[in-house]
This record gives sequence, structure tokens and C-alpha cells, in this order.
Amino acid sequence: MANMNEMATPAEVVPAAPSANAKVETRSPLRMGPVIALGGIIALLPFATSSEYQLHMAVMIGIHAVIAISLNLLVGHAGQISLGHAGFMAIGAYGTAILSSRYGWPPLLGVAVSAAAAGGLAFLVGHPILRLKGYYLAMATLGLGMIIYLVISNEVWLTGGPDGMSLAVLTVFGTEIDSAAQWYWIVGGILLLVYWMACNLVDAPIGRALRALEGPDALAASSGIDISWNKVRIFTVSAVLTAMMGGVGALYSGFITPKSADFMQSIELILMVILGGMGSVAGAVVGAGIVTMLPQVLTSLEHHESLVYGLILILVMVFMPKGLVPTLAQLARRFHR
Amino acid sequence: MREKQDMTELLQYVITGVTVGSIYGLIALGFVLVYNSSHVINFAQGDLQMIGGMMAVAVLTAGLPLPIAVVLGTLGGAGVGFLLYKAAIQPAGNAGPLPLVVITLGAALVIRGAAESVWGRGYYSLPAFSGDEAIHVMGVTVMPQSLWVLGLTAAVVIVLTRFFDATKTGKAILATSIDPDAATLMGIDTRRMKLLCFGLGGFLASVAGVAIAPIAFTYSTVGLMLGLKGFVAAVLGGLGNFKGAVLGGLILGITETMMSGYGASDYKDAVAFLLILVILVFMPRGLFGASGAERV
Amino acid sequence: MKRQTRESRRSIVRNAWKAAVGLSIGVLSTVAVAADPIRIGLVTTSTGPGSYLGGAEEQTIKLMAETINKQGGVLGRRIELVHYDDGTNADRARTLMQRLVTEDRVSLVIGSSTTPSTLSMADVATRGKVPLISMAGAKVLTEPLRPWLFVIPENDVMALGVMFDHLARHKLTNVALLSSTSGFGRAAREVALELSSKRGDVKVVADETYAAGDTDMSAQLTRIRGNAQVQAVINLDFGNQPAIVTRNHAALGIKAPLYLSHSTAAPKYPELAGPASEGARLAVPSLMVVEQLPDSAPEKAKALEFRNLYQASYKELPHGFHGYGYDALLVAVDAIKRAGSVDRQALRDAIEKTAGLAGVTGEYNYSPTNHGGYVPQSKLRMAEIRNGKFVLID
Repeated sequence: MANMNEMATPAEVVPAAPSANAKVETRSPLRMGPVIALGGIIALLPFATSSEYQLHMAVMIGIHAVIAISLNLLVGHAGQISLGHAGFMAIGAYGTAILSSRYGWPPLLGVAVSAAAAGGLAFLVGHPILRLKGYYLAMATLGLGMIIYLVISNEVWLTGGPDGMSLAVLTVFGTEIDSAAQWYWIVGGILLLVYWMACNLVDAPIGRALRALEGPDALAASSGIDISWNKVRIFTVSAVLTAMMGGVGALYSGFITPKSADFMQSIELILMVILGGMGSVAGAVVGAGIVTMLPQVLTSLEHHESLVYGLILILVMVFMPKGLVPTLAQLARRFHR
Repeated sequence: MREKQDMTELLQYVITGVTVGSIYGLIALGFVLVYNSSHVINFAQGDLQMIGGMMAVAVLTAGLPLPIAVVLGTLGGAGVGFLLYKAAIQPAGNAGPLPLVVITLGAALVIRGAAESVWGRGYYSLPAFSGDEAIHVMGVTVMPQSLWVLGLTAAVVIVLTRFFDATKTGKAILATSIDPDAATLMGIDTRRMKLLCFGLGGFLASVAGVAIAPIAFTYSTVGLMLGLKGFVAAVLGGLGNFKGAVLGGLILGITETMMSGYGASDYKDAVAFLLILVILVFMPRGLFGASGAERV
Repeated sequence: MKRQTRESRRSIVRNAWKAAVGLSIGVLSTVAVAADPIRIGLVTTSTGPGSYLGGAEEQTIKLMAETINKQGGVLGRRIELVHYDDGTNADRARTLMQRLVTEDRVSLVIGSSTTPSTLSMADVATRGKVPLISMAGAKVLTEPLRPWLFVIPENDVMALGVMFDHLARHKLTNVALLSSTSGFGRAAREVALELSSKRGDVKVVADETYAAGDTDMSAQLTRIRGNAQVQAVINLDFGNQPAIVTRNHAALGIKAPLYLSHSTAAPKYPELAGPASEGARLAVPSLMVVEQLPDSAPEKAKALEFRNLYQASYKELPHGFHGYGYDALLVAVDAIKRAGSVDRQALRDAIEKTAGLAGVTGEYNYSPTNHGGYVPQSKLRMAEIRNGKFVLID
């Protein structure tokens, strides 16, 4: 059936994974369990540490986790790969920075408008490119991300070019928000909310429709699902969330460079989803944690960092091709029996 | 007078574009081979290209003559390709394309890291195969090494086409890529065919690496950008099509050079990507994808 | 039998207790000694596109810290470097800076090698009130002045000034710019254009760019060749691409001489570019031409000493970026000595009072209004490649 020109259709991209995920996700009928668990972790973590650096890492993980969840909706549930999500992140970051520091807009309005702009872009390009399959879609999204990256690097008058640009400290109701602790609670809150929404979305009718998108288009179509509309919709939602976190991240760090839009950043985002476990909302959070922490943990290796990083990627995928969370969940279930 | 100069300029751009495009094409061929046999996009392809160049420099530094360095360099790339399949792809079994892609990304990091441990992060130069004396034809400057690049690419395409059309092994690879199960039933060792394709992909990449090293030097991260461009060329040509891959590379190379030449180098990559987006929208399987069903 | 076991168990417990007490005394005494080292944070760009700069700086600073420790340290205390690599990634540099300030509790940070990384770290330096000594050299680092950030190298303006002086002196007044669109190339191009319009004696008649990662710049050079006005070609970039430009320039038979950015000044450059580099001109730091310097040059003795030391340990010649690394540590150590403490505020104030400090790339003078280090007169000198060597020219 598959001739070599036929890029693995999305069904082939995620063999076996959907059914396994379906099991994982539907195990608890009430979706509140994982949400409460995550809420508990977020609430208790600050008591375990007071170090500014560790809180900083937690904020970074939180920002990445939200993006990973939104990307996971697209990759894990709808089976549509994107290698250009860093582009949306950068639209959020640069949109916020430009609107607030060059045009004097309130920063939060800047975040909202740039997230909407990213959504608009995703909606516009979504229709033509989401008809593409597998690696062709990967290529198209990669191209989109690269174009955004190049515009940001080249339009120095607007973006500061490769040297990056600074943002002022965020002030809300007269309070300056500049400590990692303050940002921790903001990002933690957003993460919890998005996590809850994603968990529910997966179980709602639209979630089932999404998962149907992984299979052959004809099958989904025959069950009365408007395929292209659903794909575009989820692509747009994912772009909006990603851009929003790009904006939040920019406000948090106060300094952005085009690096945040480049291809490697997109790869890292995809890694979070695949390492954590495609189709698993909790997996996206775990994946974000690992991909964000790993370089910091490996710094002591000095010059062998990339070697060890690569080995870890290979080993995880060889032994847990479905990703950490689904594999561990499966093990736990087997152990229980 | 002005017109003649315009013509010379244009020709110069075409020569430059074709040289760069051939390199993209060679790397793209590796992508296509591996994709055909295993349905994997091997993101370590660019790093295999680096291995070729670095290995050749190392052999040369050890005191062996240039031709031997060139041959050993290309074999080195093939060897690492084999190793990649044996050590990482085969153990993963039927992990599915995305995990396999992550494995190749990991392999790219490992290869780069290992190369940095052995050779450091410096830039290295390889002497041109037949001297640095530029050839001037009708006001156009051609470096002899460019001719080597073109010649090697042409030779590779011809040999590969023959290989798949006329040899048993070639046909076995074709069969593996079309239907692995049927191929297994026919008594074809599909694993060996995949192994062969990874090795061949590594070989092609390192041919590119050795050929470009005298022009653009070699260093541990040289594969990052070239690998990406090779991927673009492969998709542009319709993944799974040899001639498409080479043509994709040439189109990419010439477009880029024209863009730089006519004063828009800032956006030459952006235009290349835009071009690809437009082509994909109108031809969702790349330029040569649809018709190349039974070609590899 | 049982009692015996209990007995022996008890003795084990007793021994363990003794051992623990002994160990903790030992640990306490080592802690007293270990608390002594002066902790200096170091962030370099040792991987990624900027590794050419950061690798050199990292090697030098590690070597010099070791050398200083062998000679008894600073204020009688050892220097302990906490080194991280930012991988040419500004976000990462920021995280590492955060880590150095709050986790590793360093007294001062040296880093990073590139402008975006430094800008990203400067913010954390200001908030955490930690002095930061950068080895990147763009104008934006010192204008506007940031209270906690000090910059070591020549900035683009001064470096290009030396080149423009030379061009004007030799009546090569119509120049073509050929710059990379990387951060460095872009910033340098801006400066060159500004400088040209400000001075008026060197005119930019062609302005071409290429992207990082390009392997052939013949197209741009062909256009420049077609421009009859061009008297000199200026390439603004670092890394391997200037060597490609040099080869293309020679292959196309362009008569207008090639000028390169000061960041290209390394023995590797003529080696990579080969015979094509003959006659190429560039502003070089003293370290590159230390033997040819007049004995009156204040930096000569130190530069010669460093070069010999470096060559002895790494079996290669140092270049300008090694010099920046050396000088960064020198400025830090000098400030620690004068401050007599490792208090962050005291160190910042001491760095700001640095005066007449001779490093290997030039003399350092900071003040509350100048965090750029050099006196306005640049210490770079023009050199030309002859027989693969850097030779001082007028």
C-alpha cells in the first residue's frame, strides 16, 4: 500500500500511539485527578526551594509546558506535525516587545494582540498547508518558521536584528512584576488552566474528532467530521497559545533575540512533545521539564554536553518510543495487575 | 557593453548556483535513499557530510596523499552511516517515524559532539583536488573545484540510476521501499537493504562534504545549515525521487545565488522557503513527487 | 552467638560514630579552607557559531587562572572559576547568569563572548548587583552606559576608525562593503556607514551582504567587480566566511585590495584562505604582531610573556580573542586586589576606577562615564598578510 512517495500518512506517523493514549486518557473518567495533582505540585514547589535560580527554571519549564501542551494538541492528538512553532512563539515575543516598547502599548494588551495576530496568520496559512501530509507538512511549517525568523533577524529598525531587543519591566496596577517568585505564580496559574482545558478538550467531542484526524482522512470524513476545518481550528488554537506564552516569556525575561524563532527552538518544542509522550497532556509537561532542565544538568560535562544529550535522546526513543509518560503509565498498570 | 556585463554577471551567478546546488543535491540524495528504505528523515545527514570533510582532513594531516584522504573521507561517512543504523535505528525496531526522527536528531548531536572531541571546533581546509588556478571563460570565473563538484554529482546520479535499474541489490532496495512485507516474502533481507541505504546515504553526504571542503572549509557544525538545505531540496524534488532531489538542489542553489546577486541576500533564504511553500501548496508532493511513483 | 553479633554491631555503631565525628571535623577544617577561594563566574560562547571567539577566551582564562593560582593566587586566596558555555544562545546565557548570581554565589562574572548574550546577561547583572565584564565589542554595550557592565575589547567604532584612517591616508576613498547578516556583521556595517557619513573622507559606493552559512560569495563580489568606482573592498565578519570571501576575491581577479574586520585577525585566517590572502589588510591587536612592536609600546612586555606562556601550553599562537580573555581576567584581578575584598559593590567601584592598566591588547581606563575600557586612541594597528604572516604597515 505504501509506495515510497507516499509519505507516511499521519496514521503511520503515530502507529499504536493513539490507542495506547486513548487508554491512558480515558482511564480516569473524571478529568480532575491529574489537574489536582499538577496544582498540588505547583503550590508546593516553592516550599521546597527559595533559590531565585530554581524558581527561574520553574518559570521557564512552565512557559515551555504550556507551549508543549498546545503543540501536543496538534501533533499528538490531531497528528499534524509542525516544525515551525518557534515562529509563533517569536511572533508573540516580538509583537509584545514592539507594541509595548516602540509604540507604548500596555504590555498585556500587546500579548493579547500578538497572540491574536499569530492566530490570524495560522488561520490564513492553515487552510492551504494543512492539506499537506507528513513530511511535506513538516517542510511547510519549517518554511513558515524560517520566514518569520528571517524577517525578525533582518528588520533591524523594528526588531533590533540579531542583537535582540529589551522590554521594560511589567507593571500591573502599579506593582512591578520582576521577581521569579511573582512570575512563578502567574505562569503556574496559566499552566494549570491550560492543562485543565487540554484534559477536557481531549475528552470532549472535539477531542474525539481531533483524534480521528490522526487516521485516514476518509475515515474521519465518513464519521461526519469536517476534517480541514478541525485541523485549521486546532492549528490556530495552538498558535494562539504558543504566541501568548512567547509574549509572557518575553515580558518575564526582559530581553529577546531572534534565536527564539530559529529552527532549533522548533525542534526543542517538538522534542518536548515526543519525549514526554505524544498525545499525553501530562507527557507534554514532563517533556517540557526534561528538555528545559537537561542542558542545565549537563553543564558540568563541559565539552561533552551535546554528545551526552544526543545519547539520551537516542536511548529514550529506543527504549520508550511512545515517550516517557505513556510508557511509565503502561508499566504502572502492568505492575498493578 | 553594459549588456555584455549583465550577461557575464548572470553566467557567474548560474555557475555559483549550480555548484552550491549540486552540494545540496548530493545531500538530498542521501535523504531520499534513507527515506525510501525506512521512511525516516535522517536529520544526521548534514553531520555525515561533515564527517566526510573532517575525516579527509585528518587523513591528509596524518601524511597520506590527497586522493587517499578523499577516498577514506567518503568511506568514513559511509561507515558512520552503517553505524547509525546498527546502533540506533535497528534497535528501535518499529518505533514509528517521529521517534525515529528524534533518534536521528540525537545521532546528529552525538556525531557532532564526537567530532568536536576528536578534532576540536576549529575550521579546516582541504586542498582543491586539482589546484587553485581559476579558469576564465568569457569573463566568467570558474574554480576547478566547482567542476569537480559538478562532475561528482553527475557521476553519482548516473551510477545510482544504473544501480537501481540494473542490479539485483538495487531492485531489492526498490522492492523493500515499495512493500517491505512482500519483499520479505520474496526472500529479501529488508534489514540489510535498510543498512545499505543508511551507508549509501552517509557515503553520498560525505562525497558532498569532501567536495565542498576545498571551497567552503569544514568544521564541526558545517552540517547544520547544509543538512537543512539538503532536506529542503529533497522535499522540493518530491521525497523519494532521485532526479527530483538533484533538481531540487539545483533550483534551490540557483535561486539563492540569484537573490544574492541581484541585491536581496538578506531575504534569499526567505524567498527560497517561500518558493517551497508556494510549490507545496500547488504541488503537495513536491515538484516530481507524483509522477515518480515507481522510480526511487 | 547472638550476643556476639549484637556486641559487634554495637562496636560498629561506636566506630561509625567516631568516624563521623572525625570526618566532620575534617570536613569543617576543609570547609574553612575551601571557603577561601575567590569565585569568579565565566560564561563563554564555546559552542555554536560564536565558538571561534569563546573557545579562545575560555582556554586563556582557564590557563591564566591556573597560572595565578600557582603563583599564590590573589589576596592570598585561590581563584575558582565557575565556567558555563552559552552555546551562542542569549536565552541560555541569561539562565546561566541567573545561576551564577544566585546559585553559585560568585563575586563577579566574566562573559559572554557575543553581544546578544552579554545584553541578555547585563539585565540580570543589574538586578542582582553583580559586576559583569564582557568580552563582546559592540557599541550598544556601552551606549547607554549600564552601571554593572564593563566591556573589554575594541568596539566596532574604534576598530573601523583605524581602518578608515588607513584608507584615507592611502587615497582609497571609494569603498565597497561586503558584510555578513550575522549580528556582528550587521552591527559593523551600521557603524561603517555611520562613520563614512560622519567623516566624509571615505565613501561607501557599494553595499553587499551575505547570510551566515553561505559557502560562496562570488555573486556579491561579481557585482562589486562590475562597479568601476570601487577602490577597496571591506569585508565585515568573523569565522570562516572571511576566508571564503578572500578566495572568491582572488579567484575573480578583483584589483581593489581587500580589507577585513579586526575580528578576523588570527593565524588561522591566512592558513584557511591560503595564497589568496596575500595582500589582505586588517587592523590587528598588538598580540598578533608583538615582535614588530616598538619597545616603547606599553603592552609589549606583557603580550610577549602571555604569548610564550600560551604557546607553551597549547602549542599554537594566540590571537586577539585570546587577548580579550586575558585582559578580562586581568581587569577582574586588578580590581579584586585594589578593592581588597570580594564584595560585589566594592568590586564594581574598583573596576570603575581602573586606570592605566596595561593588558595584552591595550591599556585599560574606566570611569563613571566610560565603561568601554580603552582610551579614545585605539590600540589596533594595520597589518597586511605577506607570506602568510601578519606584517605591520603604515
